[in-house]
Parts: sequence; C-alpha cells; structure tokens
Amino acid sequence: MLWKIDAQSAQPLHEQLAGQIRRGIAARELAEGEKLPPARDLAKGLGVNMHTVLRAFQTLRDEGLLEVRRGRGTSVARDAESAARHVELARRLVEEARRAGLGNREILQLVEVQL
Amino acid sequence: MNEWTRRALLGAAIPGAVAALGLATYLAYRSDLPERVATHYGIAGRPDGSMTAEQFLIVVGALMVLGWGACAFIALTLRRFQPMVAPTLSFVGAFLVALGSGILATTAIGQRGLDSWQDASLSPWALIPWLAGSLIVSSAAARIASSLPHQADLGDIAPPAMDLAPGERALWTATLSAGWPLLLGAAVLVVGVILAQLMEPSIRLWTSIALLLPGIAVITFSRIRVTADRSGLTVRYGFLGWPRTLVPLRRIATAQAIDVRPAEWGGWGYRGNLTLMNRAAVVLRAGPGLRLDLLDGKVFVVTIDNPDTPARLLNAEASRLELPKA
Repeated sequence: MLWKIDAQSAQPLHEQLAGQIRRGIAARELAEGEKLPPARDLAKGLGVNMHTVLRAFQTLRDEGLLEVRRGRGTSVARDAESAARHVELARRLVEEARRAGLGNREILQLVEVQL
Repeated sequence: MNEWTRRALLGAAIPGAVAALGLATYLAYRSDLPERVATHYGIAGRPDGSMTAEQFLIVVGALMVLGWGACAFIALTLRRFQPMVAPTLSFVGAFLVALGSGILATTAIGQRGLDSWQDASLSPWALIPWLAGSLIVSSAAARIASSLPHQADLGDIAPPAMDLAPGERALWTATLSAGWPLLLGAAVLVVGVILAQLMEPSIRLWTSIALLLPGIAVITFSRIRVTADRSGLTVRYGFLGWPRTLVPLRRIATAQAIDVRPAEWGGWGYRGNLTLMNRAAVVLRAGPGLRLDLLDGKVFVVTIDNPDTPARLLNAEASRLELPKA
C-alpha cells in the first residue's frame, strides 16, 4: 500500500497517517488481519517522528480498526472494513456539517434523529 | 578493457590458463603415477575406485572441454542474450574447467610415487583450496560475461513518475510469499529432525545442522517485504525482516514494472550479485516485478505485485534528488 504525507499541509501528520490507514482499509488495500509495516520503518521512510506513527496507530486502535499486540506488531482488526466505513462516514458528516455552519450540539441532534 | 579483450579473456585466456595448470601438473608427474590411479574415495578418505591414468585424463579432460566449450560459446556468440544467461553459463563452464584442473593436479601431486592406487588417501581439507579457487575463477568469468552487451529493453521514454508536492513524502510497502518454498523448507526441517534421531549420537549434531540450515534458509527466502521510499528500495527477507538488501536512491536511474520470467534471471531465489556481478534478482515466482536500472548500468529485479506504484514513486523521488534543493 502507498503511504503519503504532506509536511506542508495544515492537517497534523498523525491525522494524515490515520486517514491513510482508514482509506486503505475501506478500499481493501489493507486486508483484515494483515500486518502493518513496523512503526519504526514507516517513521524512517516518511521522515516523521516514531511517536507520530504510534499516535496514529493508537487513534485507530481506539476506533477498533487496528489491533496492537506487544511484541507481535500492529495488524488490521477483524471487522475493520465495516468499522472503517462507519468512521469515515461519520467523519464526512461532521466535516460537511461544520462547513455548513452547524455546531456540535446540532450535529449530534442530526444523528439522534436518525436513531 | 574493451569488449574484445573481455571476450578473449572469457573464451580463451581464463579457461586456457586454468586448464593448463592442471594438465601441466598431471603430465609432469605422469611417469611417477601408479598404473591405475585412485578416482573415488569412501567417507573415511580411503580409495574405493580406480582407472588407468589415461582413462582418468580422458574423463576429466572431457569435463573440462565441456566447460571450456560453454565459456567459448558465450565469448564467440555475438547474439544478445537475456540478462542472466551469459553469466550463469560462463559461471558453470569456468567452474567445470577449474574443477577438472583441480582434480588432475590434486591426483597427480597426491599419488605420485605410490606403488598402487590403494595406498592413496584424500583428506576432505585438501578439497577446500581448490573448491575456493574454482569459485573465484568462475565468479570472475561470470563477471566478465555479465559485462558483455545483453538484451537491453529500456526505451528513451521518460519513466512514468508519481506526482509529489514539494512537502510530500511517500512510502510504498508490500509483502510477497511463495507457498511451495515454505512447504519445502518446512519439509526439510521435519525430515532433518527425524533423520537426526536415527543417526548415531556421534554425528547427530552435525547431521541436524546440515539439514536444519538449508531448511531455515529456504523458509527465510520464501517471504519478502519490499519497501520503496526516499531512501531507495529495501527488500527484507523472512519473517524476521532480516537479512535485507538496500538499493539506495542515489544509485537508481530508473524504475519500471516488468513481467519476470525466472529463466531470464537465473531461476528462483536470490540470483546474481550487485557487487560482484552486473545484476541481481530476487525471484519468488513468475509474474509482475520491479526492475531498477542503476546509474552504473547494473540491474536489480524483485518480484512483487502491483510494481507500477513503487516504480512511479522511485522515479519521482529520483528526479527530486536531481533537482537542486529550493
């Protein structure tokens, strides 16, 4: 899979990385159970701090997309594909709603109405 | 060294000099040799097979003629071969010549003055110098052969490159596993463990090592992770990611996706060498692969799925390297 980050972008590096992994999972470029390259190699290759990569992994673990096992590396979680789609949809909803000028409470209400 | 000098070295000078060394030694001691010479040895270094001195010369001579023929064929043919054909054939040819020459010389020196071939003895240690010598000679022949013109398939078209913004960094990584070497390696390991149990205790340790090492080696080379980034191309072998091969970006001229046919690159496994020879290839299967043409004219090939993306990435990074820093 291709990883790309832009040091000149306003978006923080760890968010760029997390976004890449989410898209990779949604596009099935990263299969469920597949091992990610070691954080150290990613950090070196992309010229970022290793903590930046680990922070991205951490975010995605909290979203249920990655499984981080000590000593066994990081891999794509089972059911990650559908989870990634939901997270991505929610992210887009929030983004577009903000652009339309909606506040946090209004966005939450939007979702609640659908429940 | 121009091309004709190299062709003369490969086809005549190297095999000729090596063959002369063994032949001269054998013929010089010919009258001191027993009527029959020992030609085969048992495990303990005691001879268990013999031939007349003439028969032996003919048999070993035939081996050397065959090897010399292979070297001469490559040297005299102006046809452009696929990249690995000439080096592989020259390596095998020169190895046969050197091996035959070594056998003749060792036999002559070891058996002169004996009354009967049954008095001969051969220590395994005596084989090491001429095996090493043969490897050096055949590597030299392979190196010369790989410098001969080969089928070039690089066009003059600018290589396709990925769009990278000035602040953008990219990394591509993928793994490739070959199923049957993994099975083969595992089978060798299992057989090794079972066989070792059947052996006498005194040689159990060495049998285990002799069988386990190849098993581990085969398993290691059955899986690779290929990474392309601004440092160049890295191939990591095995499940530990070690050993590994790095082709630094500053050595890379162009990268392209190709269809790898194992026969053209010397077969499966790690073929060739980037330091000693002009090409190296990591071949786990037939099919898509990434070919790097280096600035010094050498070529590196690795089999991997979707090689187009790493090729465009490396071309983009390589052209970025050429631009002066803003």
